[in-house]
Amino acid sequence: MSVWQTIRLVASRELAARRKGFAVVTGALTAVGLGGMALVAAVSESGPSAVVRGSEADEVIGFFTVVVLFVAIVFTGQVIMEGVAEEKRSRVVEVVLGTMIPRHLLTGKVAAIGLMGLTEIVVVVITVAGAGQALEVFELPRATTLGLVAVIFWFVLGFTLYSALYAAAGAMVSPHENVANGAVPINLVLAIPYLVGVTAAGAGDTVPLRILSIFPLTAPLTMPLRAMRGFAEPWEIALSLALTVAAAYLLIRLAGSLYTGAVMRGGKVKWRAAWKSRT
Amino acid sequence: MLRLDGLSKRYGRVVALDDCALEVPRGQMLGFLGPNGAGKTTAMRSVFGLVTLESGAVTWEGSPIDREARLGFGYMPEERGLYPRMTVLDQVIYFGRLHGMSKGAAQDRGTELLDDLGLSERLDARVQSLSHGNQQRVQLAVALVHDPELLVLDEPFLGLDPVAAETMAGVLRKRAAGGAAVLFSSHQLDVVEHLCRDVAIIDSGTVVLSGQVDELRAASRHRHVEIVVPGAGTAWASAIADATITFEDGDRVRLEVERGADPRPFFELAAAAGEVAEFSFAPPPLSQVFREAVAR
Repeated sequence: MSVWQTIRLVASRELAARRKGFAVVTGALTAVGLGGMALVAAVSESGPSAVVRGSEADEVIGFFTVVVLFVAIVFTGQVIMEGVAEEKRSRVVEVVLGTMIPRHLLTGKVAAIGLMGLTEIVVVVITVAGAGQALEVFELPRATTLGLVAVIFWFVLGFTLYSALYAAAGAMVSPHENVANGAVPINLVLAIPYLVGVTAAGAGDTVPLRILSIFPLTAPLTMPLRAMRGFAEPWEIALSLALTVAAAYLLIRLAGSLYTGAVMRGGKVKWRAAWKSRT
Repeated sequence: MLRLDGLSKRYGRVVALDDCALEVPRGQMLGFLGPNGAGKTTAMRSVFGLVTLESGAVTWEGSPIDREARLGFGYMPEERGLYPRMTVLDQVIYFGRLHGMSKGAAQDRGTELLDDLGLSERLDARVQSLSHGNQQRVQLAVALVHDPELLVLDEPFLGLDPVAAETMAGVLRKRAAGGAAVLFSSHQLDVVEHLCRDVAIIDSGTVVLSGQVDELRAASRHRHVEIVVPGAGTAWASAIADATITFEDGDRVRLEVERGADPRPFFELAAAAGEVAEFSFAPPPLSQVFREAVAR
């Protein structure tokens, strides 16, 4: 049996196991988005001034881009983390690893959950944007299609970058510990570009924003904002992309090793111990 | 044949394996026995590449074990593990497919196997809703679904009542008779000596005794004599020469004698004390053979 068949089996099990929860979350997010649009539309009946358009729409869309990317990466990352921790807690991982190496298990899991996260974003963003347009809540700027593609692209990149880290963190928590605790350091790193991004969305291009949009760990949240607002030079986008791809590759290798080192050990594993027992 | 050769492994200052060597030919069901912490689990995990060995080699049919070979193995780890929210049949199918079976084949074989294990009513139940004993059966089905050439089971009899243990042993014997190599561990030496013929006993990471249970017991320097003479007490037994009384209670007395001793005079002494209700003369149980081997 080929490695790809194994990874595909892992991925389809993940999809089957999470189908229901995924549908519920997507449905709830879409409903909230649509409800918000309907509410704004109802309020704006009183006058056209409530409708956002032009550069104001750019700002609003920029703001929501950062929010959506942050929420999507953190949520999807936590799902991975909980999935890894559950396999460790129920000890099933030892049976699974009798048939494959940890890297393959990790790949299948991350691919499946990432695909679900991506589908979620696409469904929610397109529905809400479409509804907003239809109800004349806002006027989509011409760059929007490109913007949506950029959001999806940067989600894939950002998710890839962070997924292995979340998985490694999940492999290190002890069976009785609250899984979310392990995500705190990762979420804190992500909070930096988030906060800078949302505050900068209404303002112009700033130096911190520029720096963060080049630095690989923060680029996935900040570069799409700058690109959509037209702040970023082409070379900056190219550099940011190259650095992020390189960092994603290195982090996956590193976190994959940490995952391998930690997932078979019972109980709480410290980062240092996971690093030492990696294979 | 599964061959463990010169395995060594330490966890910090704790020696888990120390030049551990073991062979399990196809068709054999080998009991891997030893006290807690003797190294059984570490040795078994090494077959699946779950342990980084300091030295030694694990081979199957003469070759180092790779992923392809491992797909033909079945494994029941010490810490049982299943996906709690997956249903019984789906679980077994999933593991069958991970071992390279087609979906249809895994479904057919899985259904058949679960039926044999008495779980045909629970195929669609989530694993977390099953009793401990039933979860154990699902775990066995997961290890067996792909008809493995080598079965490695860590403490499969733990927590089973004698009837369930005999059923489990029957399933394993059948696999061995079908040409599989079966290796299982246990720390309950006296439970297992009745369930399998071949054993290897490990202590402090080294295999100290191996062979057939009957031969190992027969090779002991001692024999046990147990006699019950109702109403006679046990005082009469002190007349038996060259024997150590190891147990007295009411009318029951147990003695230890040398291997070459002739049991007939013991019976005559007992018969002189009264009507003999029980009389046995046998090699010591495996647990004592083990204690003698490691001089404890």
